[in-house]
Amino acid sequence: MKRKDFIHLSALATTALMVPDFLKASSPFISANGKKLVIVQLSGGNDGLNTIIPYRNDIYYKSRPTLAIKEDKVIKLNDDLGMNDAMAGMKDLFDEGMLTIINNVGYPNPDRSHFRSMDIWHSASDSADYINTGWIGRYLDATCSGCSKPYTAIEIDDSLSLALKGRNTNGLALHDVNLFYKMMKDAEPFNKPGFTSSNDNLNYLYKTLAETSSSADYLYQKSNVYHSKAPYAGNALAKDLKTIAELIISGVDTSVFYTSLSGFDTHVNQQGAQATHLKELSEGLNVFVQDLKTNSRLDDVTIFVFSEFGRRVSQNASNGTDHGTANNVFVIGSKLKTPGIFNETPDLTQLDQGDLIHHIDFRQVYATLLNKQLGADDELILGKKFEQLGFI
Amino acid sequence: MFSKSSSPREMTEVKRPEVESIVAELKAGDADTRKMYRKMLLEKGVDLNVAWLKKMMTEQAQLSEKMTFFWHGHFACRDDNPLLLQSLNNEMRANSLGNFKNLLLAVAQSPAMLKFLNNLQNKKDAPNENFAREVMELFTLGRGNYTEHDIKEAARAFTGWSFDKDTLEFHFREKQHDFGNKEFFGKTGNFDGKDIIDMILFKEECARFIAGKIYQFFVNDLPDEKVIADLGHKLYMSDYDIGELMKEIFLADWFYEPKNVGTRVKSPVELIVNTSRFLNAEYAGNDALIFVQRILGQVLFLPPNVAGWPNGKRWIDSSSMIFRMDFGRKLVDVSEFTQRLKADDDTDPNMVMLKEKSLKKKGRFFELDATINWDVLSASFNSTADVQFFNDVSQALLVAGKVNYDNAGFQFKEGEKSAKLKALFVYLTGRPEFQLC
Repeated sequence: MKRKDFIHLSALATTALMVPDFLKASSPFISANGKKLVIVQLSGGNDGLNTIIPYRNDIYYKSRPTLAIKEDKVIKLNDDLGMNDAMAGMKDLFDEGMLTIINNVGYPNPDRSHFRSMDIWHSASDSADYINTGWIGRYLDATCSGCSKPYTAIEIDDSLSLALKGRNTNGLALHDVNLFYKMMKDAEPFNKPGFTSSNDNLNYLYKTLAETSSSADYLYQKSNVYHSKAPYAGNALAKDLKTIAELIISGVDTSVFYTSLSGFDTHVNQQGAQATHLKELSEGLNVFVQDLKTNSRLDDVTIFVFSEFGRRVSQNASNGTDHGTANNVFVIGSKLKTPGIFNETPDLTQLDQGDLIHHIDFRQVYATLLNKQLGADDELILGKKFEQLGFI
Repeated sequence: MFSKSSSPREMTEVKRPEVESIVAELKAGDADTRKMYRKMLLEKGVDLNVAWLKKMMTEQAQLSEKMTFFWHGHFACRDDNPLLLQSLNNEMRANSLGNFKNLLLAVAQSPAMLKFLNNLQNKKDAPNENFAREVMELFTLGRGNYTEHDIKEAARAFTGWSFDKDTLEFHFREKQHDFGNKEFFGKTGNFDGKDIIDMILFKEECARFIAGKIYQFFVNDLPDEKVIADLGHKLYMSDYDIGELMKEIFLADWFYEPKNVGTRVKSPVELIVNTSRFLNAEYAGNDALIFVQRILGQVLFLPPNVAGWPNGKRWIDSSSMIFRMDFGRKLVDVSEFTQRLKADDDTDPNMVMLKEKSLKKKGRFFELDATINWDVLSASFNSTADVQFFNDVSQALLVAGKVNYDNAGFQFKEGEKSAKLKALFVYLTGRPEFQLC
């Protein structure tokens, strides 16, 4: 059986029993390598062209008569590209060689619906396929079957995204360790570690409960070690990043952290709204990086920032932009091999019905992160080989 | 077994004139006006969602409602116009226990599905394969029973399948239809969409595929290939009579074997409906009911994609498990949920509204405003002795892993029978077994 067939959704092939053997047979024992991946999702489709701006390009200014960022406001990165003026925090990281900007990332036959495109990014599927596990979830499956803990991947939220759901193992969603611990206490009377019956799903429920309970205990005890004094702002993303920093610096054995920032669906009056969010992102990440650096944890951490799609090159009639396709992504860390601008700037003369054409498949970025940062078998997790990019 | 004389009560929540006037304004107005009307349309979508949820909780014809829910996941569809979704839902309900061919044709020719699977863009000179692909991959045959060439040719046959924007009825656009010869499943002819559907149904694999999905939904997550092949053959021989198939299932001995009882994980909607039916609960307000669906990952009329919701273990992770085990307590205490909705509001129109509303609320959190008559409910259990009361209630609530009073470790507190029932309800719904049906 091919991996692709195995992960492909088929109603009759959802038997869970056949899965562990397959994974055991072909997956090497991968133990957590101490390195960490922090994923920041920008929900709504961030306008990449007003984030990293081709400020010398006439087509850009002609396509966006009222929305283009004026050249004198742009924070210049090189002779072609500059940053949105709300991103001073990320310019610092760029100058320190801790930011890689990868342009023209997307996938073939792009889908312009939020939910479907996000589904594709989460599951790492082809545009025409439906896979009900996520790429981080499958990383958990592949990380020594049976021995990865739910807290190996943590999403700072109250419900778990598809990205963190595996076939046999799920990540953990929590907003606040103390609250999570308290809630688990209510369920504790029913916790029976080692429970078995002939009912497979009932065993799974008890197993989930036992793992949740031990994860809650572990995180509660571990996480109270370090309380950050770094100057995080009061917005939700900054709070999430602070929580992540505290968990990392406290020494929690978690490989992947996931958080998201929403509000990028800027169809109407884009400029102010996008600037606000980019500032939150940029400042948040700046403080986060400094916090890790001060505590000597930065070298272990790589940060990855993405959105489900970019936006159309031309602005719309409401001072906004509509759903597009290819977009830039960011990789941040102190161990980057290719700091700066990774590849060619978006080609505004070669468009597909008004949309940018992708040159890098997002799964090449995933493959690189899985393999180089997490030491995992990217081909097994992604279902096929994607050429790695060498940015880390 | 199933009376076919009376057709099931259809959904009428969304009124056509209201939606049409909103849609007209949506087309005409400026950006701010459009935003306002878009929101009104979303409100109608929420009304539709909750109306169906409440119908599930109270409907006498439970099986047709449950079948409709099954088809809702099988023929997964999304649209921003709740009127189209409501009429698709009614088509599914009307055919839910009827003939699969009629059901398939009604779904395939519904405006909502034609829109969702891009068949309006499927034209003679520029075919769009999405519709043809999903009809075969997800609705009828499953992978491996057709070729890419079959998809291409079927797409040509479906060109021109559209709907009339005024009547909202299926409309065949002759000018967009490809009348050339097509080669499908090795046969050549001037096939149209109906021919393709007939040729698909002629394959017994289709009957087997449908039987397999129904088996996994009604019997057991783990397929029993032998039983499914047998059911598929019977469905095929009955010319796709779904009612006959369900009769076959419900009358089979294996349906009542312990290995097939209490093994399915309740989906979020099943959990809400099942709990509410037991309590005879009445809810005020829509928001919290949407919230629970949302946080547990199953919002009616918003399937994740055309493949529908993945069932079984997929519903369970640490956070959903904690939420589910606490759900009964929240209903009894009428207390706020402590969870917040996900940040990716833009990916889901309903979310935008909930976020705006939740910001207006002082506490920022949702609570289920449920009215439950505990006195009446507790009086419906005749027994007065604690042990018998415990056993009766647990029998009513738990399908999997029967518990009895002696080894449950549950202690009744002194007080009214209704107070005892509340405590017992919290205890039983908190048990992992309650998540199975």
